[in-house]
Amino acid sequence: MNKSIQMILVLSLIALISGLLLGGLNEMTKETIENNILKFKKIPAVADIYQTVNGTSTAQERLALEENLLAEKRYLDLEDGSQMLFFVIRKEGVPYAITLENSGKGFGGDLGVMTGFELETGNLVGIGITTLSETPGLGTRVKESIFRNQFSNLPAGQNLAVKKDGGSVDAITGATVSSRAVCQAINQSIEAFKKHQASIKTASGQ
Amino acid sequence: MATLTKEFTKGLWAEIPLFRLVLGLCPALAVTTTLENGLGMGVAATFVLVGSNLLVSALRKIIPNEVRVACYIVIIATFVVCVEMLMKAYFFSLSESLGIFIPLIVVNCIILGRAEAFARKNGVLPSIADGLGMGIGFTLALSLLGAIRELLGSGTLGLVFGDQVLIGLSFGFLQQAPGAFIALGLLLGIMNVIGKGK
Repeated sequence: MNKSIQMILVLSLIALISGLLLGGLNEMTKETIENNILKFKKIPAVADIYQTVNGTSTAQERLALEENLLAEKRYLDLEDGSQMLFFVIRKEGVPYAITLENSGKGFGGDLGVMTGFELETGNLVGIGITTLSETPGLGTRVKESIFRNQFSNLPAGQNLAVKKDGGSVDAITGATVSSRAVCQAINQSIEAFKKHQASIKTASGQ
Repeated sequence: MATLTKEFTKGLWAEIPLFRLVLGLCPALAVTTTLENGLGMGVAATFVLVGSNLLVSALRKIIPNEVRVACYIVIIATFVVCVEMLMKAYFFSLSESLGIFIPLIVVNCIILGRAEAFARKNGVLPSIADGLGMGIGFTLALSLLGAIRELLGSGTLGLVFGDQVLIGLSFGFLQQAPGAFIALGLLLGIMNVIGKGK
């Protein structure tokens, strides 16, 4: 009897202490981690889309651009109480497009895609890749501009699919799953944009 | 003092985890595509190993024998999650390239192995020395494997020379999983030859 009480006590105590410790550390690092994800994943993808709209720039200008895009972060409150994050892309100082992030099921986990929509027409202006854990040399090629450029200036309203599934998107050779995941993510964003277009427009300050 | 030194140095050569005990193969094969990844993984594992050895040894008289493995796992998992959060906060690009293998340190057999085989029978100081030695030995082995695979596989050594290409001819095969097995096998063979000569 005594023995089992000791067993329960020791294990519970260790678990309790480690739980408290991790909770504290989580509070301490949460903000830094969120900033990192924003800075190293989301912003570069937005900057890619910005460059397809406004033309490419030098490496130095790109750094300044990424810095500036941090200020273009907006949140939209949804009916279910959650928030939707989006970024505003300006052309000649005026809000021109917004970007939404969604993810598809890739070969190595979730594949996050930032999709840019023109505010007026809802046309796709371009995409950028956020989270990527695909096979190096195959699936990771969805990051290359030759693949991404297929999604710039696409008219609104169509559902995207790779050619194998009857769509119009050229998949990357040997990486059909990754290419499909990109389409899946974009389609989700298209749906979200359609649903919230009016409120996004107001929130982006146009 | 002499025994402390002995506990520390045995992990560096005589019982170096990867080459002599052939433990911890999963991270060794999966993440050593570059020197930086190998070193990062090694340092993370060393931190967990020293921390868990310290606690397991300090608590060895309190933890009942029947639930010891459960206690060890809770302790190890706590350290691993700490490492994961700290790495995400302060070494973001490294944590991106190590990915799932950081959380997987929980089931790394070196760490539970040292807790079970050493820390629970020895005092706090020898346990720290043991953990530190084993961890550094593991780090050295991973760095060596990573450096070989990076240098021959892609011709670079990113951590030291940046993007500079050192060897024009590269065997991309070494960057993939089968290449990892072959490189590790050759290193093991070399280690055995050296070991026999002694």
